[in-house]
Amino acid sequence: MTSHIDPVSREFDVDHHSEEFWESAPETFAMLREKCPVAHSSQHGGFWMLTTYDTVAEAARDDDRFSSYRDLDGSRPGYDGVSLPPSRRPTRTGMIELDPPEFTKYRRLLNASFSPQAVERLRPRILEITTAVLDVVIERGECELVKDVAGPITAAVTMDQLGIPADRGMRYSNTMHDLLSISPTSPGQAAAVAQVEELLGELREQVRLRRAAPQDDWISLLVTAEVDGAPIPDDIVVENAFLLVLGGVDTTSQLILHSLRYLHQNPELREDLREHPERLRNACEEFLRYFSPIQWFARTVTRDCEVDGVDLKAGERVLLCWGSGNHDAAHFEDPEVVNIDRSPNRHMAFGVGVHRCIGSHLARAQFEIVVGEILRRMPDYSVDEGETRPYPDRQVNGLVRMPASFTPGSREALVATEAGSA
Amino acid sequence: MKAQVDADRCSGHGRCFDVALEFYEPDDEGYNAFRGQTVDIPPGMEDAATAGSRHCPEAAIAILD
Repeated sequence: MTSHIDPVSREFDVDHHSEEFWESAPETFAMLREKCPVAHSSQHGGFWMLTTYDTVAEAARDDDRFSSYRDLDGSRPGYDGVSLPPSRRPTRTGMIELDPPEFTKYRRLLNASFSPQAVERLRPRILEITTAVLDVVIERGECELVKDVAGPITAAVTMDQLGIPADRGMRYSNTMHDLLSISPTSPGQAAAVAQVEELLGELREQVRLRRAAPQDDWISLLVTAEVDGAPIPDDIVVENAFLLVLGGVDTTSQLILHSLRYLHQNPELREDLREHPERLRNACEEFLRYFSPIQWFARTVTRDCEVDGVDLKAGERVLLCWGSGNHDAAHFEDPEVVNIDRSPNRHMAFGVGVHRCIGSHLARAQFEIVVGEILRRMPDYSVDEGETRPYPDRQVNGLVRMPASFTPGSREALVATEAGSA
Repeated sequence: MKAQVDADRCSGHGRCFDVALEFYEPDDEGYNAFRGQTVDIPPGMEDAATAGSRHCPEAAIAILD
């Protein structure tokens, strides 16, 4: 991958979806942060790439200048939402493709369900699901951590809260996994999008069922709520339920998977965390910073403006590189070193600004419980590095496959739950 | 000393009450309960208040003398 940039034109012809870019992304991001924090690429119709902590934070906190809005009816052409290139799906990815004040109306409906207090109440259920899923593999002494462990657990937790039957969990999890791991320019993407359309049809059916008989779950909360004095239309509930699946399943899995791999590679830290599970909370923050499960989101410039001395024009597209900001030496001492005692650790792995990941506390709780249980029940797990593969596309910094072996253990749940058999 | 929590900046990361629950509390939606307020820091709470401010990814909490 090219490691030079023309400092005058700021032109850097990079495709952030290419495998070759990600092969040397840490070095390339470091070069850009140092030499050209606001760089331009002609790919995908042209876009700016913000790579320092300060430029990313400035744009993310300024919804007036940097819009998340996705135009669907042609009234605001060029406003292509948070994907770059634009998503092929004819619907929004829920509220994250709205700006305040519209965004805020939807966000407020869900905030309480995702608050630290609400998540605290879910911990026993997360542990129950984790126990059941680990029980399925614990006697075998080997498993594939993506599809046997992280996928089923995060899917079951998300389905449980959405109110979707647990036996559908893996279907959702696998679809998200396929959608996120494949580059939007690759041939396989069409198949993944078709799978997503099927799931959206299923979600639509769930929304109809909840509308008729609301229960205690996220979908029911949305169908019984009002925005601007009127019920939320089914289509909008569906796209927001989809957003919760998209955000809830794969990204949390990838945080857990990368961390498990890192701990395999660093046995001293693994031993430390096994003996001191209370340190998992800090470790989680550092792994979030270091691996940044979501590497970037896009915005659209609403009016001519300046970022770090560079002129941006209305209508131009901008990539906010969270992952690069999290490795900015101006904010993190020795950014390439994992230091679980880093303090403060003001990482932007969940984004910054009003769109801050609503599921951040739920992700943290799942990390602590799942990694803690694996360290307790499979303390000698060993990752098969030769069989471990990253995602070809890296908006989600993910692993497709990660087999592991361990000394077999015993089941711990008295009765297998629904989640465990999913 | 006072702590001033910027209503526009606080986005509910929850780092403040995670590191300093003795001083900061979440509201029902998970934002800092002092959001939009300037509050007195009781004696003995200065370190907690400052730690919460230092951990905020939004720099939403200002500690005023």
